[in-house]
Amino acid sequence: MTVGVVHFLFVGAFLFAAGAFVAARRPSLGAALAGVPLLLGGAGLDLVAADRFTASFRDPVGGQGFAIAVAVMALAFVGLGSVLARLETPR
Amino acid sequence: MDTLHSVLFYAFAALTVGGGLVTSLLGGRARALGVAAVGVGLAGLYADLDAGYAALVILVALGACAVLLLGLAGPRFAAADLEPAGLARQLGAALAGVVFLALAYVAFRGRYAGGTASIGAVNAAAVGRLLLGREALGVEALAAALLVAVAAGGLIARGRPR
Repeated sequence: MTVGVVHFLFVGAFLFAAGAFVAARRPSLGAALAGVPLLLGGAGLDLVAADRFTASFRDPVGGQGFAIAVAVMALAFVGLGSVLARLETPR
Repeated sequence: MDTLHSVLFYAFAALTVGGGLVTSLLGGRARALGVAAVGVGLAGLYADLDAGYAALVILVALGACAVLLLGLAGPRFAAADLEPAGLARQLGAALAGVVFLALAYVAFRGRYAGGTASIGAVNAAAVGRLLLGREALGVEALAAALLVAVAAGGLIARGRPR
């Protein structure tokens, strides 16, 4: 029952596709916003997995740095989008 | 990876996939809870990959995303949430399935499975060399697809009633 990089890539691919599905499916901004953390979370998981399984001694945590940047980017996107959704929706 | 890591992987992968399904298929507060479940699952997977600090960051970031989405789940936003999706959006949602199949094919049949895709250090310079060198054709194809998507998005936005 060995877990390799393929398993992590598969979960990341599912998350990325689920995020694209959510973002494309609903016309409202608030509903589509839920796809952004899934999209970027899948990408981040692939980065960390690639880092863990292929990293060299020169820069063993480079992929983790990218993954952290992607996670913060997801939070920024959702924060900005939620403000826009509140401005766009009539009270 | 040993058995404990494998058990942890399957447990957190199940939580992540379950959260993704809930987010994809349900609406309202359940969608925000699905994002929170994905955050917990991803944090567990990162910790399983010995990336503790990144696990903490993704847990906080996706937890905050879930709180923000919970704020958009009230009755004020319910009407917009139930608007029917047009044909273009349904086609886009179906294309997400094609994206998943393509990515899964790359994961299983690509060079990563054989362990021959090592690019050494994962830093900005290495990624730049990889994207503009060996994988230049794929990057160009993706860039063309992104350009078409942006142009189509602009046309759709211009056609929306104000």
